[in-house]
Amino acid sequence: MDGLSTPLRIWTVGAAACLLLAAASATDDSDGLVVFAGYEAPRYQQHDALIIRLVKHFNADKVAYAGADEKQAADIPDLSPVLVKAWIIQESGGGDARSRAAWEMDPAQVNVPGDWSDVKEHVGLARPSKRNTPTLENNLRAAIMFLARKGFGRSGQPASRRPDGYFDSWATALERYNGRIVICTNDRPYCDNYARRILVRMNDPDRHAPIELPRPVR
Amino acid sequence: MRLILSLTATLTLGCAAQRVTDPPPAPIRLAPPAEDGVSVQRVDLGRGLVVDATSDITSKGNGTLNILNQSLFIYDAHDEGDVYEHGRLNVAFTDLDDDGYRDMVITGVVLYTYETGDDVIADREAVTWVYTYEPDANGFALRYTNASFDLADGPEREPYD
Repeated sequence: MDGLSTPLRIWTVGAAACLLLAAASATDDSDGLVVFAGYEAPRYQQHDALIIRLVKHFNADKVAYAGADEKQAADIPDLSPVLVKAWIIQESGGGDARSRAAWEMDPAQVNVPGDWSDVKEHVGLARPSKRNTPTLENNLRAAIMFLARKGFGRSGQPASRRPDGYFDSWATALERYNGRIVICTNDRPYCDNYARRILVRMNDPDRHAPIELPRPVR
Repeated sequence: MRLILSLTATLTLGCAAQRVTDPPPAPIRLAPPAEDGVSVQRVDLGRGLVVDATSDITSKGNGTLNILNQSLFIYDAHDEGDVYEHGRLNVAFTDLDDDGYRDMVITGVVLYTYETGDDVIADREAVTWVYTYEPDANGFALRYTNASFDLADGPEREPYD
């Protein structure tokens, strides 16, 4: 966490601790994940089984998902399915038509033409010509892979390309996943607000954490 | 008869003089969209020609400006190793060739960042593109570039260490 300011470092360490606790109490029962306040509608729960399955795969094979070597992979904390659910709600849980369409097929919005980067070819994607292709499972798997790689750096390249690179934290990975650097009306960078809101939703599911974030100052 | 000829000559010359001395259309700037998503602004290119300038910005702050025959990657607020300063390029319309139509000038700064660390900028690149409006084609033609990448694609460098 070189270069992080002290408050941000404290926040990041705290967030990491919360993530570990959440990982330990990921599911309410064997079929679904925790239901977040304000997101009780059935559509918000429809991906629970897929999330649980993909996260289980991830935690069992971090080398492949993160494109990491064995040593790098060993340092990645287990991913919580609750984090993934809180994250995709932030990405595509809105009520507008574009968000609703994304929720069905690309809930983490990893495969949007305007956000294309060639390193995404390493997570099983091909440059898309339109949104919401090819399949839900392919996109969510790719998104988890890309998020894990963002834990190692901004570009999302396979972690093993930088043998000295190490996993910073899931909170940092979230910041980089939607790494908008513009300052918002609360004087924080957008990426900071984005990650914090997801973690608030995950850590306090009984409190409604709105999708709307402070607006960028344009 | 002499008077009629004189008046005709005066009016003709007057009209020509008026055409020659018409002030060029004043420069205008494209305002940044207030919201992500698709937004349309109307741009007055001069001589009564008003066209749509459509911005399509993703939830991650990347996006294109679509205007006439051009689709240009002018929004990049998402730092994945490169990002536009202030999240976007500046777009101005001004008549560069005195044809009465506003041409398009795009300028800005690309920030290239390291893989990790806060606010660490490895390199900066000042970029410029100049497009002239071509009435016959009703489109813009690229006339000048000072950038390391194609504006249709946006910056893409090998990730820094």
